[in-house]
Amino acid sequence: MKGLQVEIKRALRDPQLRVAMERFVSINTAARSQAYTEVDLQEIQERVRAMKEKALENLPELFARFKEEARRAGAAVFEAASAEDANRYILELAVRHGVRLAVKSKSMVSEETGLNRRLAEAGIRVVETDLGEWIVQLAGERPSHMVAPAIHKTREEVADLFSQVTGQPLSGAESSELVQVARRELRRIFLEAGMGITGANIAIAESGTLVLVTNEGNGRLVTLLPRLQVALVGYEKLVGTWEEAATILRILARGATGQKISSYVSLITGAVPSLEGYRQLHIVFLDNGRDQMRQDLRYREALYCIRCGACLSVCPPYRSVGGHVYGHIYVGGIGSILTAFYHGMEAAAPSLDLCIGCRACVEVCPAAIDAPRMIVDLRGDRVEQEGLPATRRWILRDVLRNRDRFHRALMAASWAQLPLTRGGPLIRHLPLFFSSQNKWRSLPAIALRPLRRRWTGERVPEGEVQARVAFYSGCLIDFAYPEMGEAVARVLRKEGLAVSFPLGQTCCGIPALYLGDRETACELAQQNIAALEEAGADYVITACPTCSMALRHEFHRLLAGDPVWEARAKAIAARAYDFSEFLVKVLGREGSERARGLEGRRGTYHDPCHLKRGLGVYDEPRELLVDKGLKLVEMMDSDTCCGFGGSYSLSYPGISRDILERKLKNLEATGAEVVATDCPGCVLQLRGGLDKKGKSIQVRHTAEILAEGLG
Amino acid sequence: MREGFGKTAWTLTELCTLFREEAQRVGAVVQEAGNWEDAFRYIIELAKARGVSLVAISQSSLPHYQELVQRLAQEGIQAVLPGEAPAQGLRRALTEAGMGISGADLGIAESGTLVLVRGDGRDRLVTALPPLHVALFSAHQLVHTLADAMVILKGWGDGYPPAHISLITGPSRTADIETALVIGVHGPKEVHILILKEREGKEED
Repeated sequence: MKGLQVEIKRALRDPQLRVAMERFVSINTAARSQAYTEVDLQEIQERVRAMKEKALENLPELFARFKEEARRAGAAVFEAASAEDANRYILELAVRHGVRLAVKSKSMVSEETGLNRRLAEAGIRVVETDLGEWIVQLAGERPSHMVAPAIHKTREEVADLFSQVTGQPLSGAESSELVQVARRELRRIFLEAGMGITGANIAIAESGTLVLVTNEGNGRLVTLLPRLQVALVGYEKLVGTWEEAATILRILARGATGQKISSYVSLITGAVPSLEGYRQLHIVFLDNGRDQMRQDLRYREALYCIRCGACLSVCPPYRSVGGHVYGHIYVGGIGSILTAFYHGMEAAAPSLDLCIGCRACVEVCPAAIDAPRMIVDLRGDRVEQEGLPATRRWILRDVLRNRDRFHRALMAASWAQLPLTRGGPLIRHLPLFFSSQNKWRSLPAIALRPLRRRWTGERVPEGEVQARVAFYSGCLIDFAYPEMGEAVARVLRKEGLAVSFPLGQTCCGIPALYLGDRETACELAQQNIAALEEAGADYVITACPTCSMALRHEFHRLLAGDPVWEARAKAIAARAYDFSEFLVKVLGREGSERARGLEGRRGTYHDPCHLKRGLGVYDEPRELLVDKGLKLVEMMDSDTCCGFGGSYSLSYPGISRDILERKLKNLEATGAEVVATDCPGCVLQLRGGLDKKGKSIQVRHTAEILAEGLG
Repeated sequence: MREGFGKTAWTLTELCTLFREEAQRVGAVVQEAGNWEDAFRYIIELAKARGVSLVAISQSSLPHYQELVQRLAQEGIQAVLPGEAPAQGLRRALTEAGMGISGADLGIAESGTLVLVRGDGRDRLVTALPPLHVALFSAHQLVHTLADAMVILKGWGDGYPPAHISLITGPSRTADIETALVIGVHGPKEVHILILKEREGKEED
């Protein structure tokens, strides 16, 4: 993992990369959200998922049909089991036809197989013709984005590279001049090349048709000028019909660049007669781990990916460090999953850790691919194969899993930290290596009296008891922010609810799960289910969305193998609500006791990732805050991650801090005096960052705001 | 969402308007031409304005191409026809031509897209290599959506799809350097689309 940390540091310190990433992200995101306004994304997601699922289920039949139709139309079809099979077939073809020079339009699959290098070793030159790919090729680098391969390069760097090709000085040249240089240089090469290599965006089984999409027009020249055409296609590109192809085309360009359709779409069926009579078309289908993925239902949905790249522009870690840090061909969250299957777990391991689990990618993906879920599963597979590192093993298995020991350790820490806090609520200076990692963020002190020590028995309302609820606090509220738990209880009591705190509750297990320790996560799920059952309440209320997500989604998924425990987990899930969600959805907005107290204060709301994208809750807290009298001013990207991510912020403090910086900038721009949010983790991150900057903006949990003025 | 989006019956005039708006949005020039004569005149004016002395014409996609060749010749503009030129000469002529002229078999209104079906690879190169592409088609060839076009394309001819169908939407573009949009990379920098309305009135609702 050392290599990854070095790469992250390098990326975070590269000012040109940072400028390039910011520019790309802002332009791309704006264009895409514009394009998405014209389509019903949810409807598209359902349609694409159903279509892809059907295609993958019937993949052998679809391929057989494709092969038959393509051959009938005069194409040769080759089935490559491995990257080497594919490369060898293409090399032999090139040698047989005496090819010395090949042109290629962008093909991620050819990057995956390392085709250029293989052909170069045999003395065959391959020239990339997509502008971005050509730039990357001249620089001797890898693409850093699947749609925009050279976004990490500045115009000056491109000018230098092109100067070396043309022998002319190009320093200070505008982008348009550089593009003209590429047109001139590559035009010559197009006309000389003996072989054209492409990928394919879609393969239509019913007619043996390949669909190829470009904006520059290089794909058309690659498929029309050389006498010999090779298409390298992953099996997952197969669809049944032309109508299905239309569905993909409709969303591909929108997701990629915000266009309604890419400038050029070529639909190629068999060999096309062109300049020198009939040409040859060879279609190479590549497996290289795809079938294994298809067969494993946990990972099959990664094959839904149409490579639009929409997920990358919204991925906070990707935005911070760019594509090269992922270390392999396929970048971003989905990339690390593909890498695990195409290149093996070892190649994927570092990049699997880069996901912060914010789920922003799922929201914009045209196929709603749940990459964060698959990444967590892969981390689990890795731990099963390789075991846990010793320290981590000790913390997770020997401390976290034993509630008494874990809580005693936290209590001990609360006393040990006293000299650091000087009695204050935040730790500004940590000893040893922690200090260098946390200069950017103050940490909360561990409470001397955690919530579980403050809470005795049931807290009952003044009047009649409407219902009984069990409060599931989560570790952060219990041990760092007990006042948030007190606030939740005050608000709920005013609503006529009796609130208990089941002492058997412990860590929700998400930290263990995210580190790949499924075993500990299962054990903790069972401990919590038992504790919550014992409370016998009508509802289980949480005020930490990650815990809520655990109760609602993760527990029964983790225990799915065990019918008894799965049923118990589902029974808890059905009664579990996050605080704001519960107030609005179950109790209704009409609670008279809530509607006052904050008149005239200007506030903004930060959406916790797991509240918005884990539970679909985002209007509810806003409604409650407005009812309370807060003047709500929305910040830009209010639902973008704050960079906390639990242990992520300790493992990758550089990225965490960078994500936080962006958040704080948007936050400060609102001029708000108070920031509300519904997650103690987000509170920790935001308060820590603001405190270090010496800002007086308050960060409060919605529950604390609602509890103001209540007895 | 635009008004009327999702409705099933579109008049020809509405389709024309939508096509023009969408094609212009992506940088194409769209003109309506009353008849072929108007279209030829536009092409000749454009060729003169751009100083073009050699044009390539995709004759299999363009009815009345012979008339166009004659008219161009009268103006001293030479035309090369891929179907009639020998391969080596053609390669050169196509790279030297200042304008490529083609028909279009369909126009997709929702995205301002030209659909080229007839002809072979040489016809496609006419629309791919020269820096300027002029396409002519009749308003009656407009369809509303990509899905509508796909249904027609799938059943084209005797059920076998044509070997190389091109969907063209605006000029060639890239944003690969610093995310800045630049028009004209490997394909045409300029696309002019002439919609013929010769039969207008007869099939209007």
